[in-house]
Amino acid sequence: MAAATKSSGPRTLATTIKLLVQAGAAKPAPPVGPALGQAGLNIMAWCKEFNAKTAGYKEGTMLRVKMRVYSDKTYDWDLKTPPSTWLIKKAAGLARGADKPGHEVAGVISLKHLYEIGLVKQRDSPNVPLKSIVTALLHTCRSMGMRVVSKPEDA
Amino acid sequence: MLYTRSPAPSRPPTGLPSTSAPDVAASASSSTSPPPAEIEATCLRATIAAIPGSLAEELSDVLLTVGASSVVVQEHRPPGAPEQEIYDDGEAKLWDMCDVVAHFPLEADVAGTLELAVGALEAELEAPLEYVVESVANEAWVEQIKASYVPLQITEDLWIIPEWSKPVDLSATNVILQPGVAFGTGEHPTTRLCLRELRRMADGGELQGAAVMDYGTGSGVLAIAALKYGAARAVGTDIDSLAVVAARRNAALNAYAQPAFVSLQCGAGIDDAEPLASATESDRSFDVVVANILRGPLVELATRLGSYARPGGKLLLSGILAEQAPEIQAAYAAEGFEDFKLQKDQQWALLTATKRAT
Repeated sequence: MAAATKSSGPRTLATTIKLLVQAGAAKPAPPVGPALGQAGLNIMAWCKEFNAKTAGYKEGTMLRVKMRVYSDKTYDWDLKTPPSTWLIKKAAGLARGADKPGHEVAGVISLKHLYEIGLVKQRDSPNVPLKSIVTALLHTCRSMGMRVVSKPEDA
Repeated sequence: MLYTRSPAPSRPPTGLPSTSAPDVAASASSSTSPPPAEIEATCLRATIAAIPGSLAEELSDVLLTVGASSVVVQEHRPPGAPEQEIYDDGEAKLWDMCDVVAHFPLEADVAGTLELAVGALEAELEAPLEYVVESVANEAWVEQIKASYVPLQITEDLWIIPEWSKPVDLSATNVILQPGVAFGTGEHPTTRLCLRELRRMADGGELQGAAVMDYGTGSGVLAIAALKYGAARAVGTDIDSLAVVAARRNAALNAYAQPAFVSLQCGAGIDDAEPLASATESDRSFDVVVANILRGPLVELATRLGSYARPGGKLLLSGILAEQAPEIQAAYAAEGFEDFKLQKDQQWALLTATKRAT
């Protein structure tokens, strides 16, 4: 693999990577392998780094990893909660993909679920009031074509 | 969080057998080396060209939501065009024009999923997405991993040699590994910490004739090193069945098989069965217990791991960050260990201790 080191000047951005990985469970196999391999990184070393850093999370917590990889093969990465739309879909129990291409599959979600998702998203923005976060989630649901009901049993 | 890796000389693997060959773990000769361990099935790669930078960020989040396993964004650079240099100045900028590469599981309906993604974008696209879908063979990204492994010097006289390379210093202790499947290639600071400690123990004759437990053995690198330093027997356990097989294979590459080296599957938690449940009491007692895993399991399994060490036996615990060491130390002090020492490599730590000789 040819080294991509620049001969002079500060490092420049080469690749950005986004993926969802379970806390403490990064492995070199897909999805991590192909993505980090595409960027020419040491997959194994990153997995161990990620697993140690996320060892304190509750088992099964899904995290969104955002990485910026530079021309000298160094990188920065940080952790966020998964996209709101992803959490909403998961809560509504929808399968990924679509039966009718181009059409959003309608679904139903309860306010209680949105509240719980709001608590998760609040970890990324601890200074934002929960009410604002849930209001934003309601807007997201509307744009996704999701119906919001008060109680889980109505879903 | 910075990771710096110096470029390695390119050393292509030689004569890799096809993945359909049967698993012949006993063979130690390099001409009929065991086939690569089974990796998960291939995936699909959709390369979407020429997406404006302003859109690429949202598109990547949407793609993750609709089922992409990962999204890689690179500059869209037409042939001959100069690089648009984005510097690391604190702004998370993207290029004016990007290529968005999304990976999908093999069974995904990529076309349908991409249509769904476009529909979910806030802004309307000026033109339909232009993309190319290709299969990513196991071999393609695994080859990348394999190509990056070269002989690694741990100490003056201890090397880790990938199976397809020749030892650099024939008079050194050379641990032969088939890297790429399980943790423990020798590159990680925690592996290096443990190996250097084993090397130091070997100097003091502490490994001669010893029984070693390597809990979380991964590639088996630590157990194999201990055997090379004169240990009489080593047991490696791992929660990952691929690692259990890999460790056995790697031990065989170094000419260790049962009863010198035993590779066992174990569960992840304290509620899972004791891997040595059917062993005799003396077989469950070790002179050296090494566990290079993670803080969580180290704490949860303290009683079990602690019980493996005989009175006066040595403990090596790693896979932890330096800031996690006090918690680990407290857990094992409660299991009868004393004389704790902390060694560090960057932010990683190795905690060693001795079982009280009651």
